[in-house]
Amino acid sequence: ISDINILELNNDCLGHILSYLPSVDSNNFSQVCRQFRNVFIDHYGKRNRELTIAASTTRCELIELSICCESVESLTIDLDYFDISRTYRSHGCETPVNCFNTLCYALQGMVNLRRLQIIQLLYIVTPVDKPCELLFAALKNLLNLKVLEIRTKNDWSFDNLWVPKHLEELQLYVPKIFSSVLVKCCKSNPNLSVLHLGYDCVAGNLKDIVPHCGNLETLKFGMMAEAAAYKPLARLPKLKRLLHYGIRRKGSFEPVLAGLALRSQLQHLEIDGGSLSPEEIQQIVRLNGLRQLKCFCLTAECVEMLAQLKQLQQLSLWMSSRPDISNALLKVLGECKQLQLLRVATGVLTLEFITDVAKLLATRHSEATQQPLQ
Amino acid sequence: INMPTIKLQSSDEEIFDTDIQIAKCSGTIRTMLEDCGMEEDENAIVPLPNVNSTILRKVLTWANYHKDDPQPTEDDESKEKRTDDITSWDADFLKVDQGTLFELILAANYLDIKGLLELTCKTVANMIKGKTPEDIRKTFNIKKDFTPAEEEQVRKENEWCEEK
Repeated sequence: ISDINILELNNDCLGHILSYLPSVDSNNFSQVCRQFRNVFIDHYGKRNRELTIAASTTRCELIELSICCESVESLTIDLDYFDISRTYRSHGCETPVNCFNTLCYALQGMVNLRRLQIIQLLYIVTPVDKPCELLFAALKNLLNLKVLEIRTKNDWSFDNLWVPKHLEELQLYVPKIFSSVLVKCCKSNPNLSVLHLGYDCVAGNLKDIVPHCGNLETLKFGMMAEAAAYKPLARLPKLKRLLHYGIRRKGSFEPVLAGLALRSQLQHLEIDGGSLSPEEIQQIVRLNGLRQLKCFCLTAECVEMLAQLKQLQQLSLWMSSRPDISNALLKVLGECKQLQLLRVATGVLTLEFITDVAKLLATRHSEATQQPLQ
Repeated sequence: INMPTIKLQSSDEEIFDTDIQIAKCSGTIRTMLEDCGMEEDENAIVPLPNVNSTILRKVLTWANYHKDDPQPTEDDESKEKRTDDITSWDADFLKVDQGTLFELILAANYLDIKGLLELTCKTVANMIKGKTPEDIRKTFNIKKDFTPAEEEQVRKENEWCEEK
């Protein structure tokens, strides 16, 4: 007769036993004692590194997520899970408020969380009051949280957005965010290097963030505003990538581009929507560090001017009218010797364009091979 | 025919004359024989310091009964593992006290006998299935050793609402 206890089995053996338990039983296993719990986390932690909480998530999966909260590195929360109509669905939570509190508790324990995504594809009705505020408050002690992405439909309040302090990337595709909230968030996240903002979502002055974004390298935004609203963005000391999307006021980028041209650090510019005015192009060609450009042009003359961007590596061009731009592009290709990628959408080209480009590149090739002989 | 045999020595220094074919269902012994070239030597003794004679005798009984089984295939992680496929001979074989069952698990793990490890772990899994954490503690005489903070966390986990 032997009297050894189950706890004298090593974790390997306990892990084998655990592997034969279905989810409800394995959750119970994890709640027996510390050793069983550690075995559970060793065994299932790795499958909880990247997780999504969505309408289809089961209770067992949620419990497992809570147990393995320290293993979670990337979490997506679909707010649809907390919609009141879930009461009538087959799985999940009958009392969204309790569930939400449980989620926030688990979130507080996710000390290795690196990326959090809060999404919402449809409008929801939920008894949870200010869900985003509760989620942000739970991020207080998460020192590894570097990336926060929020894509929501309801007009939630975001006053607690300043709570995380180690963000490097923030994406806010939300209906509305007050500039004062955004400023507070930028102040508490001095290492922020990537900021994406939904179209026209900033209520107030976007320029107010400029003094607090010392490390911002990438700014993506879209707005229908006067030129003065963007102009101060040129003062962002580390800005390398400036991406605007959606409709905008005609000529509104000239002042900010003029400011950016004073330093040669801008590498990537997209003004995706709204043809560039000749004045704007005149400023763009002064950006002598520019490597990637995506823009709308109106005339062949505008295209030809881009040939002055000697460092250009990638050019994506949309023509908003239908002039023949073959010669203008040949000039660009001739001058921009670093160009690796040229994309033309809705542009008119002659039939011989491709042959001409091939000839041009062949010439350049032979020039290059001849040089060593000299 | 005279099968080649090998001498296995338990932790309490009992010697078991064993058919090589049976001994080789243990991955650990198989490796030892191959690495040390002991197969040729009739008098070589393989020491098994982690297994006592009672348990080694049980293990060899099991291995003898299962010596013609096909090699177990690599298990598929995605599939839920069955525990209701234990044969009646195996079930009878495991009508032992808990301590012996756990020692068999340790021995099967140490000796790397996949079939026996699966069988014994399934048996323990069946003892856990359908029980609450408190029932599991009672069954295996386990003390609840959570700190108050851990207790709180367990309580919170269970607050994820019931599925309908």
